[in-house]
Amino acid sequence: MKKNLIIITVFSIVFIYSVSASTSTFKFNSKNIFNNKNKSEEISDKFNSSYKLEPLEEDEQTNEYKELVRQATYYLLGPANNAEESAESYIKRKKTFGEMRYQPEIPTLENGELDLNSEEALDESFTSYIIPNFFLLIDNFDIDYKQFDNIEVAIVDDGFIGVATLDNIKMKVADEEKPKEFKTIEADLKLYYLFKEYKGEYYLYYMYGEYDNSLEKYNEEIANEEYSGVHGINLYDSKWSELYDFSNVNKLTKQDLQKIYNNSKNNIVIFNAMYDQSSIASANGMFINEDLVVTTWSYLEKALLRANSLTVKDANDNYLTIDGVVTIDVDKDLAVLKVSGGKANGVKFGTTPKVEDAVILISSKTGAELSTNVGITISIDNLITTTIPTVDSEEGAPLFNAKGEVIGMNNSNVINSSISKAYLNKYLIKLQEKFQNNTDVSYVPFDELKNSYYVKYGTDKVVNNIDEKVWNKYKKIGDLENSINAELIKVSYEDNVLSLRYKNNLKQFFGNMQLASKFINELKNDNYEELVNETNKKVYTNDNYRVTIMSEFNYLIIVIAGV
Amino acid sequence: MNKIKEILKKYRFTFIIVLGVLFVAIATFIVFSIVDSKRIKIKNFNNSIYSLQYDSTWNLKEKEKNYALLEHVHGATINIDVTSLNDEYLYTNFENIIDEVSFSILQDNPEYYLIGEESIPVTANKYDGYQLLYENGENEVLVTIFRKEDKMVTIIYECSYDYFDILLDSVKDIIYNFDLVNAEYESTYNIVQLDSKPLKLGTNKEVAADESRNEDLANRHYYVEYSIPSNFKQYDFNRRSPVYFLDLNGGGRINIYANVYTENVYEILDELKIGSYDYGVGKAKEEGYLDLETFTVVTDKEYIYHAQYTNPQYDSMTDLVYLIYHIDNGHTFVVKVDGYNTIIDKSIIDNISLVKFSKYADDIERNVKDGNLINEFKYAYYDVNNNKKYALVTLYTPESYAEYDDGFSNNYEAKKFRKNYNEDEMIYYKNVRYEFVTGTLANSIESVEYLYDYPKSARKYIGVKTYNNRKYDVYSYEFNKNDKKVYSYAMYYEISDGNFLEIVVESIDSRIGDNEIISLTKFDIDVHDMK
Repeated sequence: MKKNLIIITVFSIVFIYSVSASTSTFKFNSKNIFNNKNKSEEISDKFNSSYKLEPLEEDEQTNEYKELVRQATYYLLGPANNAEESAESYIKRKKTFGEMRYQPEIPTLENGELDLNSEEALDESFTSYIIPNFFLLIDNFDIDYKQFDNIEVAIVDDGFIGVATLDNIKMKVADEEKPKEFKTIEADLKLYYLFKEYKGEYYLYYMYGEYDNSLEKYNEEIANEEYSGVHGINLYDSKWSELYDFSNVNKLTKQDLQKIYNNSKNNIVIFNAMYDQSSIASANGMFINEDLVVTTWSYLEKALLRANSLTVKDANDNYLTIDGVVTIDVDKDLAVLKVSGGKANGVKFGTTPKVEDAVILISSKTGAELSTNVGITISIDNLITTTIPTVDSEEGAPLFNAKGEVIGMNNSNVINSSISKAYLNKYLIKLQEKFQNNTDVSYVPFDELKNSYYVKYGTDKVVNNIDEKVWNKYKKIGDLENSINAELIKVSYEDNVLSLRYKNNLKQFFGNMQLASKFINELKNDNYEELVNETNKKVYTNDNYRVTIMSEFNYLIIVIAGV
Repeated sequence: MNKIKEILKKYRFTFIIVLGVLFVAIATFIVFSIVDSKRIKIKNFNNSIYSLQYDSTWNLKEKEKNYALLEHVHGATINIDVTSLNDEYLYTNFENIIDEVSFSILQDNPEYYLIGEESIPVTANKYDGYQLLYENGENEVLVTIFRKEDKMVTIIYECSYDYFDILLDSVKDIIYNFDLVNAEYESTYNIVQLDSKPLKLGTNKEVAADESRNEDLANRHYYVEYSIPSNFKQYDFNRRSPVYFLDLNGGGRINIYANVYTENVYEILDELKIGSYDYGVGKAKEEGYLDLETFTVVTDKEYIYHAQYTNPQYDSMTDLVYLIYHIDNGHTFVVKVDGYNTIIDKSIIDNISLVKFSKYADDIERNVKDGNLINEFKYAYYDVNNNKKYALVTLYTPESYAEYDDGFSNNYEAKKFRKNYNEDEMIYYKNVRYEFVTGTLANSIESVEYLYDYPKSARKYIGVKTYNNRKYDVYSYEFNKNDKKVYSYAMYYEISDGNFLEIVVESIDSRIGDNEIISLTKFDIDVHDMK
């Protein structure tokens, strides 16, 4: 009996240990994530079904174009992460890149000679210069990239434009101080490709790259103007002027633009998604009637996901009241909000523009004030592609034609680039019609929507009980008890290892590591040897202890282990 | 039995020693085994999708193609999941992916709440990543997400409060060392496959070389040092693409040409293979009198091409060897040995080698003395008596200038300097170029106009001017280009009949004063006989 009891007890302990040791309570199924249509369906069901728009017209298939852009970028730059490339691999991709070049057959004249004045001959001659030379130019930069980031395409008349973004690349450029030498710089690279269709396939016709910070500077300058309350009128000087006619922009006068702004400013709003009293994301929107504002669903979702609250103000700095969300359309990336307190009467919509028409984007790069940006359209398909560079806070902004009519709504598909995209106004027009005589719209308050689907933040559970004996043993190390002035939220002592987690409640003012500066100095004074000194991790040791200091989120974590 | 006892007795000390040694060995082994089992070891796991490194406190419980599960002895787990992104997310902003992941996590784990989130660089390659921290009152969960190409990686570390921070450093190491295998696109282009054969050369005692000497050249951003047989003479003083020769008593000749080309080694091999690289070989192939052709792959960075042909039209025989050296993926050093009416002795090829090479920029020293940059350069020419000479010039350029290499001229025969770089306009506001030229002044000035894109109509002959006690023929230019005013002086100092040192000083948007010209015409010149 006694023997049996012992066996049962031993088995129970082993079972409990094995279960507790290997059971993971956190659920994660990657397969569900991207097939999960329930999310949008569930949220959409919250709203009045009569507000729904008709299903989206089928988008043109652009992924095959994106794949071509990705391939061209690979052949241009080679393998990622500075991988050692053999001469054989290099020449293969160089030749393959060359084979992507647009090389139309040159027609022959009656006498059998090639027609060197034909468009095909001129195109052939143009691409034979541009494409191989661009390869060699890029080759000289010795670019080391980590991965391709976004790839965007815009369909143009006889092909498509592709934009590949590669962030934080390393490249060698001539040193201005010592021009004979090269220096390695970090930059964000944008590669722009124009592919033209020839006999059912797409070939590379033109390309250029931007790695300098001219775009950044352009956006910064406008942002500074916005902050200082100056209403600027801005045109970005990009290489697209080599391929497209910008004369329609040049016809616009300052007075024209000022008039468009004055007539529409009451209809344009600026959203700010707030977390801990600071704006974490801003965007624009436009009134489609007296109290309904349209913006993008992607922005509203960002606000629901990350913000505690959402504010909205008009161009006169009047803060308006968001009553709630009237409807959303996930596929069309639209969200309609009921906003009261504004002086709007709703924007006037115009007809779809033509390529090379002048366009005006009235938007905010800062979330503070509005600015006016001009450019031309370079492509019209289901979206309007323009030469107006934007940042992500300009999504939802109205795009106007030269008559001051809204022709589209800016989205954030291509940001920090010399092109940007806007949705056509066709669904906005339908929304305006739908709500024209509907004075009593139903809506779901922002908080209710957030609480139903996006409740996520919690506060740290404080587990900081520490045995006094243990504390007395460790508190002298680096004068722990006095050298760190922060809230201790988690303490653990297991296997002779002590871990301490301090919360940095002032991260906007001090980095986590700054909390440990006195502690580190004390360790150094006590002749601890520095083993690791990285931004987010430092390790010190002596004959008795190894002290690891880590910065994660808004925590300072210190782990002290016996050596 | 007695015999055994006797043996034991006889060898008892030996047995004691052997047993002692055995005991010590076993004890040492046991101690080492215990210590070793406690020592933390680094383990690796790789498959076709990812590579993983972890320390031995973790146990790799599952290792699927797209998934790995690590368990710690204290019950913590790390789930690593590699997901292929579908078309919708393949090209999208990373932020959209994070939104989907965090939404899915919250739906599946209502008891967990988020206590931290931040963007971070992930892995040693610093991919743009994101980490989220959840807890549920007992456990904490760190979710790390990053995207590379068409894959999204989620690394989920779950642990009780007791050990979460204690194990965090080890978890961070696992994340740091994790990587996805690079995806590559197949190239459609196939390089020509070489059938490598041993190099077979004949013998010709008359041209045989028993020693070598080192020579150098500088071209196309590269400085190359190489050896050639000592019995070859230099044809002229060209340091960009030098030629050496050896004449035979019977009328034959062997030339050696050395140069750096901006072609990949495989481009050259391909062109040799199809006969487009060497005119003589191409013609011989086309007209059917190529007698021999072999490729020898010495290493993956050194190749030898050998061809022989007899041209019936001239009744001449050519023995030809190309030594092709890979420098980098866009540069190749080629030595061509061309035997006309003679075969190339094996010793000639044995004495040719690539000694070293470096990027030209790496080879430059900024030698400053008394406020001036000190630079030397040389030029070879024939004097009035048709004697071969070379001029060695020591330049003293103001140190505010910096030398640059445009990749086209040879640094031994031309020197270029510039200053006042404007970052916004990406131009230099001052340029000066020193170069030796031979011929008439009329031809030289036309070359300047062609090279610098100066309008001929802007040319003005100033006359003979004296700077630093030397007389110069001076031309000036003043014209508008791209909304900028260009001022320039082209000055010629004659070393001997028809041989000039050409100095072109260019300034954008500001006139060039006499003092500036004086500061840019400081040099010493020594003329030597050429060996």
